Amino acid sequence: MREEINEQISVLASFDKNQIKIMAFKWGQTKYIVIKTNLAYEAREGQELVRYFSVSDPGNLFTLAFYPLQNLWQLKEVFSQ
Amino acid sequence: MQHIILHIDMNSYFASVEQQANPFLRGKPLGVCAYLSERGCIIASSKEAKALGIGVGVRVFEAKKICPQMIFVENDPKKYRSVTSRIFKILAEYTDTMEPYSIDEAFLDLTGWVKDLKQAEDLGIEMNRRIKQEVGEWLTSSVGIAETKFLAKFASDNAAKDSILVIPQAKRQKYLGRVKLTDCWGINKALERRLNWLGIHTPLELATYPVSNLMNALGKIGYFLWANMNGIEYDRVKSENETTPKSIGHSYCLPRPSVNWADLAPVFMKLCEKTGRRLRALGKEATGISVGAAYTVEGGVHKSLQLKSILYTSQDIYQAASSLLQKNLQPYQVVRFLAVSVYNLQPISQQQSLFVELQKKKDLNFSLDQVNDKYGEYTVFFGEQWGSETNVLDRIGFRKTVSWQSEI
Repeated sequence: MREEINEQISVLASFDKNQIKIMAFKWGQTKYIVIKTNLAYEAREGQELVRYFSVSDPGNLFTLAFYPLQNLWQLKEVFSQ
Repeated sequence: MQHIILHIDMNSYFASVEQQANPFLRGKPLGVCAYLSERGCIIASSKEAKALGIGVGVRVFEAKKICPQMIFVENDPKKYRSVTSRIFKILAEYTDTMEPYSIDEAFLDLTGWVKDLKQAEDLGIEMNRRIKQEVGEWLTSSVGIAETKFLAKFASDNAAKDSILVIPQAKRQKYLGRVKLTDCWGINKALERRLNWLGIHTPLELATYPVSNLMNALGKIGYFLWANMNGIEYDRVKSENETTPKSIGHSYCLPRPSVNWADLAPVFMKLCEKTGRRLRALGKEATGISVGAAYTVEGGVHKSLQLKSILYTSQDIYQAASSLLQKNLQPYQVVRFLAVSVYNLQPISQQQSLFVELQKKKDLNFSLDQVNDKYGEYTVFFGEQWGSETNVLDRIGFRKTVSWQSEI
């Protein structure tokens, strides 16, 4: 089941070997530990090159987006089985 | 020196990318659609769907009859382009001559980079491994390796999924002897009929047919076909900066066919604006215009016109195209498909126009392009496009595309 969210979140990530590795994020009052990044991709929105990350915790799939010019992270959508 | 060409073709690409992004979709029949309506077409299906006989072109309602549990997702061109970019970046590390053939295929000229076909095969295995490791483990490819472009593509077309097929010259006839003419790259049903008329029914018969007779019947295509079957290279792998399009255009299937130009005009203007944007982004102007339309009943229009004036601005493209199309549309016929393209591309003339109005139009288009580059497509658009926001969305063409990176 897919749910569109588009809310700002806090993200804990490491920057290693030219890659962004997402370790955890906080949505509302809940912390989610990321166990896998399934796919990372980019898409241009006007001047902004938005970085998308499709990540999983043990039960759900999340699409996160990083807007580098604004330095903000958004949770775009949630999939649950 | 032995020429060594590698062709790589990603398997069930759009569907595989969606399954890579969303593990819940893996192992399930999945269809990627342009539109998620019942009459929407599947443009890519997963290997699980293909195993059920659901491939490209099947409509959503037809697929549901075959497999009620099938999952459908709307296509996401930006995602696929981004993944392709990462894959091609890996491939480009192995040669300085890589020719992207489409969004999910590329030719690599490994001549001089490897000493023989065996070493090329080892590189192919390494490329596959790196794509899985660095981009996504669900992404697989078929790789073909041979001494000509045709044989390399033939090999990848005939390789199993997630595997490599090497065809040395000595084994060429063995592999060509197993297939039909239409299994060979470049031979469609129409060309097959022409070859049949010459008494050629198999690739091996094509290989042994007198080449001069083939050329008399088919022109230079006859030579190309003969050379392909005989393992003779007449083409070469071209790097991306050597390939420029001969034409630029866009087409669209209307979700609501219409006979009224008032309904068709906003969509047509959007097609012209997309064409103009790509033309200007390439630093080109054009002198030829082509238009096309298909009716809901059989038939349609396809016209081309060579102009004396230059086409550069979207308004000029729209004026020339809509004039040509409206003159040739049959009255009372309902139109379901529109197309426009410009050809005879040439570098932009740097000379300023003597006519102030013409220069103003060029400057306006340039400024509009800059605004849309900065704030997103269709931040500003021409009034004629009003009402076309949900039409002519970003799509990736099926055909070989020189500009697979285009985001317009």
